[in-house]
Amino acid sequence: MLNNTVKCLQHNVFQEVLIVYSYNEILIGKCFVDNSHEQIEIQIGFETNNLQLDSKYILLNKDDFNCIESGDILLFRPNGTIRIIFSENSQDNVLFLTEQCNNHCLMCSQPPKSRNDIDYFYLLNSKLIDLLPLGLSKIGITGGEPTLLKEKLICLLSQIENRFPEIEIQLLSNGRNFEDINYVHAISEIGLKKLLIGIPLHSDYYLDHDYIAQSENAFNQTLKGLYNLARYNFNIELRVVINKINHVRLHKTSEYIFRNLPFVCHVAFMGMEYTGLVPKNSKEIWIDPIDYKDELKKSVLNLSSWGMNVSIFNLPLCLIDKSLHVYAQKSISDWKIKYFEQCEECILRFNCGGDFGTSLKYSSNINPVY
Amino acid sequence: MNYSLFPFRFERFENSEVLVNEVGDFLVCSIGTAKKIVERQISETDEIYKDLVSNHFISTSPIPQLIDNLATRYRTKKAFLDNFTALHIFVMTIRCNQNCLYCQASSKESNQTIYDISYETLDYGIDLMFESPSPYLTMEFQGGEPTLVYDKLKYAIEKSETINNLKNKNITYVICTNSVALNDDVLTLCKNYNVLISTSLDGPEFIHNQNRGRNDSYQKVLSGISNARSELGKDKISALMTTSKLSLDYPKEIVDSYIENGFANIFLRALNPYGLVYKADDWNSYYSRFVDFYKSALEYIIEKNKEGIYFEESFTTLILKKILTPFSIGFVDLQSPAGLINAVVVYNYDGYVYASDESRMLAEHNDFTFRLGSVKDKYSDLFYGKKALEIANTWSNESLAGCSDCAFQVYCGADPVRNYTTQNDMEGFRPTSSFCKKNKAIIQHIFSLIINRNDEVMPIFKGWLNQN
Repeated sequence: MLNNTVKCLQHNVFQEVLIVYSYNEILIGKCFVDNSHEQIEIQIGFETNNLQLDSKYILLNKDDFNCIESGDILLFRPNGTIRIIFSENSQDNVLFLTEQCNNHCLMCSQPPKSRNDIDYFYLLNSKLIDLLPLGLSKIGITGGEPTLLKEKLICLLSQIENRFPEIEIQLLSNGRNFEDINYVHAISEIGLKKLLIGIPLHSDYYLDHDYIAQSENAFNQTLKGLYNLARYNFNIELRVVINKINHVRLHKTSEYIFRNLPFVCHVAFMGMEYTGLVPKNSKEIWIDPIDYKDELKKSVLNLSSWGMNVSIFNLPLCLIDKSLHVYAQKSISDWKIKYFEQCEECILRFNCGGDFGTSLKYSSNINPVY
Repeated sequence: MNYSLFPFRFERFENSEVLVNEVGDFLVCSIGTAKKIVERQISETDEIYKDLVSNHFISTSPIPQLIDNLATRYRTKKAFLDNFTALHIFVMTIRCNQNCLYCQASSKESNQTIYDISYETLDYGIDLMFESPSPYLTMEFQGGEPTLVYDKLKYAIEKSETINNLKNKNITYVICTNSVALNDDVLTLCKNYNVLISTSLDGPEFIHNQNRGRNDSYQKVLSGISNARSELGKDKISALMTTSKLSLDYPKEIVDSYIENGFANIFLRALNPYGLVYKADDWNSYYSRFVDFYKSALEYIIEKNKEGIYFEESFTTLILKKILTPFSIGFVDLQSPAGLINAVVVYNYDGYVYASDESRMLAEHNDFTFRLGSVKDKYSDLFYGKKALEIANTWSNESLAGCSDCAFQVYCGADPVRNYTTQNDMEGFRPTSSFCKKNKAIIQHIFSLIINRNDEVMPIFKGWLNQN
């Protein structure tokens, strides 16, 4: 590992700068912002044409990058752009492992790409894990489909376990690759203490699920995967994104979950984000949440009455039945939350998780509650 | 449509057809659905097609993709078999201080110690109990009235505790007592070893006393219960009722007496045709009246719950758990393979090991059909011996005529001892079996409630299930 810690003496302040360089195109560094200086300094120790730097630093003008905070980890891309890939002050940090996916869900908010990016993201995340601040309490792992990294996912998870034995991890996967019991066994051998695996279930009927996932045999593989995970006592969160196709059988799906998957530790019913593939598939997939209000109520209350742990994600309170308010979580990341003009009068405003600021279309039934 | 069938069974009642598969999942359909399914007349575009596939009734391939998941579900339903015998009953004496007219254990009013268990039998019995592979053991003391032999009770518990220092099993002790003679010695013993008390209360005073053949029994039992509650804690005492012929006319009064006496549940238990009970009586009429009694009592209990009183009918809860959940229950009277030997075994005061509580009751009438052997025999000869093998032929309702094609098979059980006692062979004959008639009627009634009064009864039923 080529990272090291250097005291930055040039400005005579105590600044710790972590540097990493490896691989020809991956450049990431951790910054420390000093309020008394006009520049953010990141020592990197190599030369590039795209950024102004001396032999040791990348210097960024603070005014140009006022969104950068101390502790942020930046990715410098070859095209000259910078991306914050980790922020110490955020609760929503994720390791993004690939843009590829073996499902192609009709309502995917981050449509998968087919470029082979496995090695790139593996190296990037491997470096990133080493830069993460000690004491970090939680991190998400997402994609695309993280299990497409196969053994490399196991390497990354082991690396995390080594550095952060107590960390909470939420891994989002479609669960299909857990069909391979040996793979599940290998992950369990890592010994992560607080790993939660979030897996979407679109329907209790396999063809509906497969259609929504746009993949043949997706349901069966996911269901086998879920049982394999249960055999190894993994914590599983089931995620049901409600859409125009599956809302009809939502209650039956809830009963299916209780009878066939009672071992999952959490079931989340989720509203759709009107972005990614949704606008394109709008006719087929989009539904105003008000139109599945009753079905959602029956489903949530059914699972809850069986003693299962249920939540509602991504739906403003005014779109769900009053009896479900206790199940609604503020699930949308802070930077994405949107409230509407009419929300200002709403008495539930401060308990409400709002809607996606990233959506291109909203329910026409978002109304204040008095 | 071309599809394959999973094993499933069905029953018609009222205006529906209830289909039930091997793991207890059910679908309520219109009459004629089973026929349509079998004749491959269900089309992929029918909504019920989706229900049938998703609930494991039909499959698009001869060997379903998710067969391993289904196997897991089947194992879950049969999980009561996982640890083998957990309930070990010790019949401490058959002497008793009451004179119940329905006594199933042929108790004796006597001071003769020939009716008490010997220390030697206890020693052998306890050793056998610890040979059970189960990590959980329930050591249940029965009689007669086990508190009449306090010294032996104490000896048995202390001996088990000592052995358990090495064996490290999770042991629950239960004393089945009429609570008439719960003195300080007994209560201290219970306190020291966390012993549960299972007592009998048949309902209001006039019923209880008449059933007991005593006119002061009710008061004594109540004061015994109240003493035990204050000494041991309320949750340590449970009560069982037995429905005598007299009881059949008083469902509400019996439920009320349980509520008044601070119980949160009742187990509406029919008489078993063993022991001293109405020998010449017409059992068929008793059982059909019992079903009516059960229905009225359950209706009254549902009403009470709607009024906001939490009160559970425990037999219903057991059946509900079988119907509505993917889980298994540990109720030895209603399982297949049967509870005897697999879940329960009896060490009798006479020095012999019996396959179940009812088996030793038969022995009081000199019928030793279900005697597995002496307590001095080897564990393997008792639990895996010839007698056990013989009983095993008839202990699964999956392979009994009349049960193998019954829609309620998964929710019911097999009872070779009952068949033998009432119908002269372990196989039994379902069309005239009172066990079958009673269970079928009750299960069907519970289904009717679930189907016709879902919104009204389900919150109550789920409340009971979540308590258990």
